[in-house]
Amino acid sequence: MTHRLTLDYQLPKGRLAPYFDALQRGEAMAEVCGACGRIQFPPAGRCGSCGASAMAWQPLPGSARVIYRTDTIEAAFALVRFDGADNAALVRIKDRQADAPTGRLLPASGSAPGLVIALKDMMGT
Amino acid sequence: MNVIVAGGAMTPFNRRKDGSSWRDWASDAFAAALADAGLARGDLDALVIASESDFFTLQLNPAALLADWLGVAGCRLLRAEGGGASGHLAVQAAAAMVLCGQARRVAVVGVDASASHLDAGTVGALYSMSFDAWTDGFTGIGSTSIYALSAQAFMARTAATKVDFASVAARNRQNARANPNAHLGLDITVAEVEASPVVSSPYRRLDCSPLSDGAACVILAGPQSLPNSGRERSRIIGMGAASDRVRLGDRPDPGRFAAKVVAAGQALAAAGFGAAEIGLAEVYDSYSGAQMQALEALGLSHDVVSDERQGRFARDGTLPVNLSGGLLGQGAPAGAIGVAQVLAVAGQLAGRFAGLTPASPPGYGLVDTHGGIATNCAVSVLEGPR
Repeated sequence: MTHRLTLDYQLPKGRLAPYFDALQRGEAMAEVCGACGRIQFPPAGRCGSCGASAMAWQPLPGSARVIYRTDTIEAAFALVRFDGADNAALVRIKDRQADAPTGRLLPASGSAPGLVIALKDMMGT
Repeated sequence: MNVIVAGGAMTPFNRRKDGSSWRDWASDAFAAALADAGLARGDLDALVIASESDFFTLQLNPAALLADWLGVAGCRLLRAEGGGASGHLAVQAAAAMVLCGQARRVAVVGVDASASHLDAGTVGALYSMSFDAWTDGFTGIGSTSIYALSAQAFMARTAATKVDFASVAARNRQNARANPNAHLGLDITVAEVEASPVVSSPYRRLDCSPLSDGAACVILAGPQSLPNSGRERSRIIGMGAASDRVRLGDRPDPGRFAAKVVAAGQALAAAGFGAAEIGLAEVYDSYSGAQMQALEALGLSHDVVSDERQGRFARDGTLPVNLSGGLLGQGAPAGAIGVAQVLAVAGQLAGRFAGLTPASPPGYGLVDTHGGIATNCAVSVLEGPR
């Protein structure tokens, strides 16, 4: 038997709307813990350090440093730390041929607004 | 804690090409497990189903369907889901039913069609939604890449190498050669693992477990609910479960499987002894490096790199690991994995496992399973027949 199922989801962004809206513009919107000041990007809705749920939004510069990187046949991904953030983020590397220790957040595109960075040298623009 | 593994059985794990359906696999494993336990359908009070994703079977509410299909409609039903840990969590849920008196005899059926129902690309896309779908998943990252990043953090901290990982991958495939139900028993060497194509650096194809189809079933019961009190069978004497932050980036050390430390601590505390008493283990080797990360976190090794290199985890070592072949060798139909792991350790301790067993069965064994990347973790300690 063959059976085809097509699913078109409508996913409300909810309390993460400021994060996703900023991502469309290529901006890194982090959350700051109102209790201990921890800065999280991407956000988690709750402080990963003290557990508080009172979080405020704060933009970050959008620059990031690569911690670990992995390469597949068609893509490259990295665990990075965005400047100003206390946690790390999983990102796609836009140009998998590029090799540099730092990068910058790009505007999200398409139906899956994920974190994508372009790598650049520290000495670059 | 004393819950008897009264019986069990599994279908072969592989990529089905024989036209059989996932309902058939569940039926076959269930019927064989009942026969192994010497029980009849009417002896069961409850059925617990483990199935990771309805996307694979295209059957929502699978417990209701399978109860009817297996001929036990009328009894208490539950479906357990915890990613790759689904099967083990189902076993623990069933054991809890027995321990609290909700059921005397419970069947646990784990089943998934992870291989043949959907193409590998679609399965990969679904699996990428099993971390944080809105951040990790939206980057398009696959599970191999997430495990590869965690493995790099582990390598940086412990000085484990790709050769160590390849050693695990080759040994588990060699172990699987003796297992008639295994998906990938292979006569391969470390060099062949290292020569296989890169999937996501540092992981190569042979460092990765396969997508498999299949089912496994165990029957659990209290000793007072079985003929001969289940004396000739292994038993669960400790259970633990714990969770970690879902995203690697939110963990203090992305290479450490911290929730396993907690889960193993709970299971061993319930058993009443320490990790040194464990004589064999089936651990969740979705990737070769993940086996080393697991052994470290479970407290089964103080220096996992040194132990790996000295052969401690081989069949003739002091702590044989994944004699079934593990996920790498026996295979990985998600919902059935944990059930098959419990079945393997119960059988190895009782000297009645179809594949490799230690020359002399130890008294105690450990089962380790997780979902996500060591995010939802279950650990159980089993004791051989008394």
